[in-house]
Amino acid sequence: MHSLTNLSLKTIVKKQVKWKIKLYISSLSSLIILQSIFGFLFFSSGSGSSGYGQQNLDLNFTIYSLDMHLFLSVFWAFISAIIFTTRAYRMDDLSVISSRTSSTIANTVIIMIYSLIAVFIMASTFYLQLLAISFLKNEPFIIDNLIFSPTLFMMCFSIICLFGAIGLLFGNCFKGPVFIKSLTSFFVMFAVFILIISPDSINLKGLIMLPNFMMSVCYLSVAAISFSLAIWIANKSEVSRT
Amino acid sequence: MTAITALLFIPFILILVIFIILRKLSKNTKKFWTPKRIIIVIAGYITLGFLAFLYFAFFYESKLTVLANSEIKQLESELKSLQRYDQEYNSSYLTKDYIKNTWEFKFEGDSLPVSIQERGNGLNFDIRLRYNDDIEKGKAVISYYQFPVIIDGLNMADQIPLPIVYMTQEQLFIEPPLENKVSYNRIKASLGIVDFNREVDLEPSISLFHYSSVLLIDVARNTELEDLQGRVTYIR
Repeated sequence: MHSLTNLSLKTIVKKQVKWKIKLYISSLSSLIILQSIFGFLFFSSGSGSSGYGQQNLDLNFTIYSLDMHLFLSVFWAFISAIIFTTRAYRMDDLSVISSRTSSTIANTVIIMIYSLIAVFIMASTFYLQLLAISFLKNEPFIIDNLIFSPTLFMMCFSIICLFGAIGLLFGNCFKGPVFIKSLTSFFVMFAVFILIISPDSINLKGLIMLPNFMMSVCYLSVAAISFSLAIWIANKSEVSRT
Repeated sequence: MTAITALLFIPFILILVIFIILRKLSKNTKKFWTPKRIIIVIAGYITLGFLAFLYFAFFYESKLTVLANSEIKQLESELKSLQRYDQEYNSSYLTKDYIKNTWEFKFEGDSLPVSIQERGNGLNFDIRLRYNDDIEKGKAVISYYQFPVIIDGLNMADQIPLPIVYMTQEQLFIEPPLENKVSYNRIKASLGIVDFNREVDLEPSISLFHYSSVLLIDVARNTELEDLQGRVTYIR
């Protein structure tokens, strides 16, 4: 018979990750459904368009880029990470030996793995949408850039991972000690207030101008901080500790 | 009134029907969608996406190709010399490479009246006259020279419509072309919002430049051209 004292945290987390990765897999299918629905809704409009008028030529480009797919993945990661911390999902933790800390560490690992798979799903939706357009719309395509560059792949992964981390932190904040709940509520209200009063005060231009790799490093650093905070809060809110 | 009622109630009825169907199916779907099957679906979806990528990479033939920045810069520097030739009234820059269309007309007498009709945005090309010894008397050869038009890295010269040139009652009429509307889909496996912010600082000439196209009227040396609007310039 096993007991908590005989098992190291690493072993518990490993077991939990193995267990949860199968249990939470339906969240990835929801991403596929979400991407397919929006891909269908914005079938012919693309992510953007540009027009030119030169020498009696009215030229219009419909641009198909990854923006919409990334926004959806980011939204999905944020919501899924919050859902992972809800009571319904916490009940599943009882199926294996766990503590709140080990559960949060396992969730962190799962969010990172799912973020990686989400990038592949995102890319698949992008290419499948293009294929559908080329067969159904019968309009010519100009291929500017077909291949995902490794740095872009890393950037997409880091953005999805970041929002997953923020979602996990958010979810943990609201099940943590009272002072953390109050602090989070105050922070959210303050952020909303700043956004309404002075939206120009948040300027991401400097970050966007950085190369993809540097942007990814920035996002991953913030994600690491969010994950660490989420684990720290989970550790603080343990029911009983040995 | 009936239409408004229908518009309000139809979505509600649809949602209700979907809800009832989902409720009835939920038990069966829960049994069917085991983790193993979901993994198969996800793997299948990613594989399909990869196959779609392979199709575009190896089997899709694009009609237009985007020029590299170095190619565009080279083209731009070549075309800059055209302006110098034109200012010196030297026709040597009007080579066969740039000819897009040629019209031939016959007329009687020694004079050819030319009427230029401007409408809308006006003429988008220059009109030049050249006396050519190889052309017989009573004949006019009109050639339209189209230079590269670079828009967003694409050479759109082939899409620029031809001017309308015709002769009636011994008079040559030149009219600007009707607007040509073209739409293309562009594949950019990147983030548009990031690219847009980064491309603002790029040199504008790389993404957009064009030189005025030329309509050249070749006539025999003793022919008098009656330029009714004063738009024709003589060129050697």
